[in-house]
Amino acid sequence: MKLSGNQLFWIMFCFQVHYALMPALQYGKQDAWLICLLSGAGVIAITYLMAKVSQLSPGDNIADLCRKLLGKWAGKLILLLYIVVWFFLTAVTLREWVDYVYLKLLPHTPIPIVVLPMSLLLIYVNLKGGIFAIGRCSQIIGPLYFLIGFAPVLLMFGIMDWTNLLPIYADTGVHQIVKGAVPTLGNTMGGAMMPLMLTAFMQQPQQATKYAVRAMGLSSLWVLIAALISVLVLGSHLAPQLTLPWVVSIRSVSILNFIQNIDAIAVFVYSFSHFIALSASTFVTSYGLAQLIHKKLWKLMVVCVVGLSFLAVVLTSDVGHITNLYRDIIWVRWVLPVNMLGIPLLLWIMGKMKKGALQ
Amino acid sequence: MSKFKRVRSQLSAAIMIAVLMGITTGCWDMVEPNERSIWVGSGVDSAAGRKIDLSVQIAVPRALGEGGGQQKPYLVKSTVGRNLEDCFQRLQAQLSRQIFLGHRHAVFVGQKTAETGMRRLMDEFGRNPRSNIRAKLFLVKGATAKAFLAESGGIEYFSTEKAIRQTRFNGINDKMTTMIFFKEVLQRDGMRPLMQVVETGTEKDPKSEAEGSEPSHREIALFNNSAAAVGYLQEEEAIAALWAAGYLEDQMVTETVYGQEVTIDLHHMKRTLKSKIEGENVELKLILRAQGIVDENDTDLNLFIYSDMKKVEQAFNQKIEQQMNTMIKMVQQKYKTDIFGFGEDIHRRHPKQWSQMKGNWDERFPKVKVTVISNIVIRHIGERGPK
Repeated sequence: MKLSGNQLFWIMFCFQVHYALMPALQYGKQDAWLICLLSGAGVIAITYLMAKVSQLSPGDNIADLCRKLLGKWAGKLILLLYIVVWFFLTAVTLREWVDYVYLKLLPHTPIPIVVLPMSLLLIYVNLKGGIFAIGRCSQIIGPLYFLIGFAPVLLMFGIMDWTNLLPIYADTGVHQIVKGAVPTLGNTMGGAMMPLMLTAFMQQPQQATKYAVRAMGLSSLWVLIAALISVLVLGSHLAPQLTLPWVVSIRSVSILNFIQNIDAIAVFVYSFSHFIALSASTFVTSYGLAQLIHKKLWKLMVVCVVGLSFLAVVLTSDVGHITNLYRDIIWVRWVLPVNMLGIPLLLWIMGKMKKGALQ
Repeated sequence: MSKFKRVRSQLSAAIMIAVLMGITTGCWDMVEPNERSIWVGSGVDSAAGRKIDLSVQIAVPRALGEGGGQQKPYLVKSTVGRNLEDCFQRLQAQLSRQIFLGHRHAVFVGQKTAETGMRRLMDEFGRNPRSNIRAKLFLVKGATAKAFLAESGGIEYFSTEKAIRQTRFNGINDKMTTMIFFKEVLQRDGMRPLMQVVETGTEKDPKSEAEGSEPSHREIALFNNSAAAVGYLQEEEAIAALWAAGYLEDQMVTETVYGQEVTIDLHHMKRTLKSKIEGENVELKLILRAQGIVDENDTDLNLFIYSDMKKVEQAFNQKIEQQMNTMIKMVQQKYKTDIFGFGEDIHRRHPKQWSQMKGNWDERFPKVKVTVISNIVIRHIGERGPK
């Protein structure tokens, strides 16, 4: 069984944790959508680069590619860089999900108890079906996630104030927009690195670019819409101050005093999509780790990765919102220049130069 | 698959379903409605030494059901604490049920508290994840919020419910009476919030209700930049102010036309602002739009005749322009607080000039020259033409 383009699309779409749009709103207020536009273009460009790199040698994932292009040791070093980032991605996404569930549903439940079922689920889905099971799940969960994003928009038309968007650009300025676009970029592209590993599992690897770019394009568009609507519904001053502006916008829907509190439904679907994002990044991390150490240890690696992220969440659960810190310090300063731009560019140039080595 | 295997898988599925059904029935985390106090409204008054006197109206479910007619359907408890959440904690000590903010429909602020500024009270609204973010804000005039909560709700079970329904059926946009909207406006540079006012003593003993007639009273409170109430507007002035500030959606408006009264039931009420800046002078055009049905016509005009209908329309527009002008002048001169959002319109239309103005907007606001244009259209004359 192989991964289809459609499955890759939904897996990558589920990586979009669009209810946390903090940086765009904080830097741009009513012009958050301009920031989202700019960072969306950046996301698409980077995804395109990643997908192209992953196709340099069809059937090989990043591990094989690095080995073939850069030799054994340099290849392992680069793979290690990615594994660390993927591991962080897993741990932080898990952390984000736990924070959300803790705040909204289970404030009195100990954090380990909240994380445990999800961790076991991650181990189960990876050991039992691997990436193919995740792909098939994503075909159901992805569209649902997309819908739960869109349906509230229609319900919110009545409470939108379109003058909230004014003045356009004048309050923000180009400097602020660029400054805000970088952290927004960091927030919105957890999924962009997935093709590096997943393209190798695809039926038709040459389709990966198309689906990957579409997935990240749609999710960037979705971030833009969510930022726009948060401002329209809540106002340009209130939206940036909230931890989850999109969820609060959904909560303020009240139609005929009857359709209310629809965020309760959203919570479930968000959890589903987190499951897809988490299981995919667990798969990618543990598969990479197995290639680094020994291919036969793959299943053990899944348990290790999940166990470590479990520990990471449980041990840091007193810190509060870790996501912003992580994004600003690790993602923007290291991951973005090194893993997102530097290495893919290097690999791509090397790949074009050393075509023979890839055959 | 062999037969034995199929039977086994079916059996295990059946067992799984049975087990799942067993553990998912009902609430088993003990947060049942019976464990919670249904907190309908809270009232905030100030106490000595920066402290807060918080009162809550709690539903008594026993009295709400059938046969509970003897008992009051609510209970009012109050306590003094250092901030809102501190008061919640102290209240919990008095209650046999867990406090639950999900049902808090409204927050009432006593007049004294509102006039001294309530900025420091705003943080709890919208931070506590369990509270209802669509809760409304009201100012209790001439009394404490506690006194209002202790009052009977008339037709409704609770005075909280009464206040909310009153505003809703008076044509005010639902979203704009909520505390999240109040908080949003409070942070705008060029707009100041306003709040609905409720009074105590409006509900009397049901037996004597028909006798002495209490004048109905509609009132709003105007706030300044530091969330302190600086003035009040009543009746027609209040309605005009709500319309000019963009809060109103529909309203019945009665004006004197050719010496007699005409009432038009207006809907789709909108206001548009157009600002113009020339040097130091700020000019604003306030355009009011609405459509309506003539509900009552005491004049001798025959509305079947087009020109007569237009006469009513014109007279109406003139009257509204006059009233608006008087009201806006008064707010500018007496209260000096920009509840209409004139500054916000300059911010949105002329952001460059606004950056120089926003620092002392409160001083500039009284000098703004406002032209009112009323654009009411009669969409229907009702079921008959002549008187």
